[in-house]
Amino acid sequence: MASMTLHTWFHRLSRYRAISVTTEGVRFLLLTLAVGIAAVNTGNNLFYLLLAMMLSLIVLSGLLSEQCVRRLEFHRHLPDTLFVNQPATATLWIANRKSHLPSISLRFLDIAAGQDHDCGIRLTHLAPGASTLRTYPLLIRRRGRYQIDGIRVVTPFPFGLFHKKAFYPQEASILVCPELIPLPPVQLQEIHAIGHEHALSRRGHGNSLYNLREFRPGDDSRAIHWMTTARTAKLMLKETEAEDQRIITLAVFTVAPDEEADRFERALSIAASLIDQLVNSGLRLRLLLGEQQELLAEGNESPLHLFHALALCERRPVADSAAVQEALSQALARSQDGPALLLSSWADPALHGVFPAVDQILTPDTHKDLFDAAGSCLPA
Amino acid sequence: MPLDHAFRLSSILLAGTGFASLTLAIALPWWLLIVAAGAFSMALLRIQSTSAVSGAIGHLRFSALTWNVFLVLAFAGFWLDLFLISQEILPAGIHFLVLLLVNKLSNLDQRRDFLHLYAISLIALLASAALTTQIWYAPFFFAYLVIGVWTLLLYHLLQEQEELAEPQQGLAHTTPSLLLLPSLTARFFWTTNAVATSAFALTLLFFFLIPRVGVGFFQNNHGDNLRTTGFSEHVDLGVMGPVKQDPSIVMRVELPERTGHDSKWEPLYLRGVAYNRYDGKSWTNSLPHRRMLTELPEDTFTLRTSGTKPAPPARQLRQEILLEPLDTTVLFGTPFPTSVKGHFLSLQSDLMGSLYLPFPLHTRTQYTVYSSPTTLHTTEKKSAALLYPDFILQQYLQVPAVNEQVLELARQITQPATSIAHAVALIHTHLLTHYRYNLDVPSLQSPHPLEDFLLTRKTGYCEHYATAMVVMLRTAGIPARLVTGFLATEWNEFGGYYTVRQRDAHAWVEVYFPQSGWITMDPTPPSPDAAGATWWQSATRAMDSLRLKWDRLFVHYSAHDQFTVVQGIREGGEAVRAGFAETLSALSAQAAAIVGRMGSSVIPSDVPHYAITLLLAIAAVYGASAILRRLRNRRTQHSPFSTQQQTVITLYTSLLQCCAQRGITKPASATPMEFLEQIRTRWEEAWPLADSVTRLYTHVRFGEAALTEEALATAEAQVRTLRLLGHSTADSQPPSRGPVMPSRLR
Repeated sequence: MASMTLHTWFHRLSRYRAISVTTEGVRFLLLTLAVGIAAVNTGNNLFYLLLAMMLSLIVLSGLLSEQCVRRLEFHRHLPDTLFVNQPATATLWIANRKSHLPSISLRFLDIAAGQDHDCGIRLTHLAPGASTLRTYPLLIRRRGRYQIDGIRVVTPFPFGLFHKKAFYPQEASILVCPELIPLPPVQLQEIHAIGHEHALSRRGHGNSLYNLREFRPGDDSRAIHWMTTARTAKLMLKETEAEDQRIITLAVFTVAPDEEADRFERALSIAASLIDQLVNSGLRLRLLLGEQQELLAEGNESPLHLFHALALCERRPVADSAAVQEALSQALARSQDGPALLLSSWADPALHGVFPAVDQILTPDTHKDLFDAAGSCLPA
Repeated sequence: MPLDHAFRLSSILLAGTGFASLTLAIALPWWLLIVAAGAFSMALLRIQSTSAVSGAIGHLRFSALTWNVFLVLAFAGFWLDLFLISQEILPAGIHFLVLLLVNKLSNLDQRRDFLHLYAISLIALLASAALTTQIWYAPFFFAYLVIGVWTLLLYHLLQEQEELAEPQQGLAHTTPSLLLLPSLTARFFWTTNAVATSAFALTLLFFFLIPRVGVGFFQNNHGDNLRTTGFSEHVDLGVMGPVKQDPSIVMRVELPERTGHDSKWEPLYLRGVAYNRYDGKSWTNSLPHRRMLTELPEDTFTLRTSGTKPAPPARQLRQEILLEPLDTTVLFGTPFPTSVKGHFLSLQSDLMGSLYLPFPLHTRTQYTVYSSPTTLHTTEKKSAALLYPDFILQQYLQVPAVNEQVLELARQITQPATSIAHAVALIHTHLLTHYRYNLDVPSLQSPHPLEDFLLTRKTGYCEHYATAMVVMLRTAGIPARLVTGFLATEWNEFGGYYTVRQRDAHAWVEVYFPQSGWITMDPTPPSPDAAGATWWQSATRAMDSLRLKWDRLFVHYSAHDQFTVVQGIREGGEAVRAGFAETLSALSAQAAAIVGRMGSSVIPSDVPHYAITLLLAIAAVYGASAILRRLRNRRTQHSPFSTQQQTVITLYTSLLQCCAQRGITKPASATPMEFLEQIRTRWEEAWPLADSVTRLYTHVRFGEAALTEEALATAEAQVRTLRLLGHSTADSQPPSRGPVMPSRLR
């Protein structure tokens, strides 16, 4: 019981304050030890005086560095959503709440999942009562919820012999969505082609040709069809077929074995990129994530909720394959109002038979340029 | 001064301090001193990197290969020095260390060069600590500590600046001078000195607190003993003459029970050895038998034989004596010692009351002597005849074969005497008044030194006077003996002690009276050389006092001292605790009485008094905690804005008030720039002024730009103009309805 209490106490102490020795500090400690041994062995009081001097410098280091890292206040501003490998900017407001003593030589680290991440912020001097606003880049490499526990302040002040580290609890959480990657244009055209027969035949924003008519004042000059204009010697305008009524269902098969975990992440990345491309081009999109409830995104709104769902999507083991297949089949059967795509990171040959309502299945076998690193535009 | 210049200068000064302490501790060869001085000069000139001199020095630099060859040669020289020249490791090592220092001073380019230089300087200071215990080490140590703090701080700050300037490259190999570095400010100067002072205070604290566990293998407690004369069993007359010019300090004597004013002018006789036999040329002790003194608890040795009564403490004189290492076993103290306290294995005493150690001490020794001074009994002052014990008559009336004229002289002097004491006084006065003090006496060559002194030359020094008095007293039938020791006359008013030097060696007389015992008589007149106090002597005494304190507090600080301090603190703590408890109980009794009197009139009598006291105590504690909380809150709740930001906020508030009076109110949702647009559309003539003030406000408050005095003066003038403009237009326009408060600042 006592040992547990002691252990807890040490744990708490080491959580809020820690010291590491620099290279110069190690040399200084070794010299101090040597002088100490000489003093004890000879009994020479002048050696003891030198030893006392070196010890006083060590203690003074501790006292002054403690003054530097105490009574600081922080406010961190983080973006609401982040994408993997997409740089973002975080803002840190730092205030020195001491009334008389400045804080000197400070370095700041974010503590996330027990790991220190250097923010790259360095303050040489923060006057008593002063505050400062600093920004720092944030680049996260894993999808999911990014939990920041706090901020660690590090200072080597005053002599550079030790690094005093102080922990300030400053919890924050960001959802990190799958990485957005540029998709091959051929794939995008295929997907557009799949949904073409489902498009309504009326004028509007889209890619397919609806009509050619004479240019009228007020029309967008970018829509002039120059070939017809040349042929007819009149300014002719190209009208496109409206695509806003089309709804594409994107189903993600969330089952994958453990060895396919990286490929699963890649699949989610492709899904997020597809959502981004399709919704931005004005399409309505339905997302089916395994057994989860379906999510809809209109063309004129941000698909953030879809990205968040992808960010939190969990890989299911192969044992759950049947349940996921059944749930997806039922959901796909309900959504017959447009083309359906199935994205699976796992090349299960049985998938074609299980999902007859799907127009196209994207698997590692069918689309190697999307799933494989070699020869693909995807980052490995 | 730029930061990097200050850093280089402090590094060189640090090395210089270590080197200077080393040169004082050991005599370095002249060529090494010249080489080192040259290296220091070059390093100092190189600090000013822009000057023409340093440019010329830069061209003189040797290549790395040359320095490597230099180091190899220096190392070879070390072995040569060790086996052929010095033939000792310490001097050879120190010579090699100085060469390493020269090498580093000439190649201060990279960070590690500076670190090596610091290590070398520390080793130099360590070596000088091993070689000396003199007080000059103290200022060097202090300087090293202060410069060390400066150097380490500057080293760290420079490293930070370099890393900030080029964070990607990690400037391990970049010279600091290439960077744009800040300069030293007065604030930095004083802060660093404050840090150095704190380091010094902590150093002293640690020095006194570190337990002294000197149980090692390399302890060296042996030093050179001071050579003394006049304290052996056989002393030739005139042997003290040569040492009467020696100013070496033999001992320091404190009289704790006497104030400085009492003892300032009173000479102190420190008794060493007594002699009873004189053969015409030399004195001997014919009673050499020594007995071991009884050891009492707490390192105390007593001379009192069992069955005798101790002297009353009020009559005893306590002396704290710090004795330098001497080549004699004699222990000194004022006449006549009754007990001695000190860390001695044993202590001996002969039949004439002299104290002896078993062997000469090789270290400075501190001991305490308790003495009982003797005075002549009133009945013996007028006694014409005294009855002496046989032992005294046998031992202390021996007279050598001296010239008849000496005997005649003694008879003439004592002829008018009416009593023994009177005869003694007549001889004493005769010697004091008829003879001249002179150290230039060739007594050792003379076959009859006493006759020469008394009859021929009539000049001499203490030994001659004392011998003459003893011989004349004995010829008159009065038992007497010669005593050698020291006559302490140099009072150190700074340290509160007597400084006793070799030249204070002295001889005097002890005359026996049956009831009074041995009475000290000194027939030697004062030396004519004794001049008045000069500023130089005062300075020397002050320096000696400092030296003594250095020796006591630092050089000879021991585990025993630590134990004494701890014991003192414990006793002091107990005394304070007892006093506090007494005060507290007295106060509580008074408080209880007051509460009782107040309570009897207000509170019903059945409520016990202790309950009221308890309630009052709780109220006091609660009140104190509330005050503390308020103080703490006041400390923590200070404005988040700096002084400059607060100034511009006040200015901007004035602007808003002006606008509000004009009917233009800032909505809480509008930014300063949006509000400026409103002013532009609704109050066009005020816009240029408002624009200037608003921009200053945003720059200083949000951009944290510095507020210069000129900018502040301009802005204040603009707000005043704006206010006047508002008043002038207000006169021509209907006033706005009701008071308008400035909107909340964003």
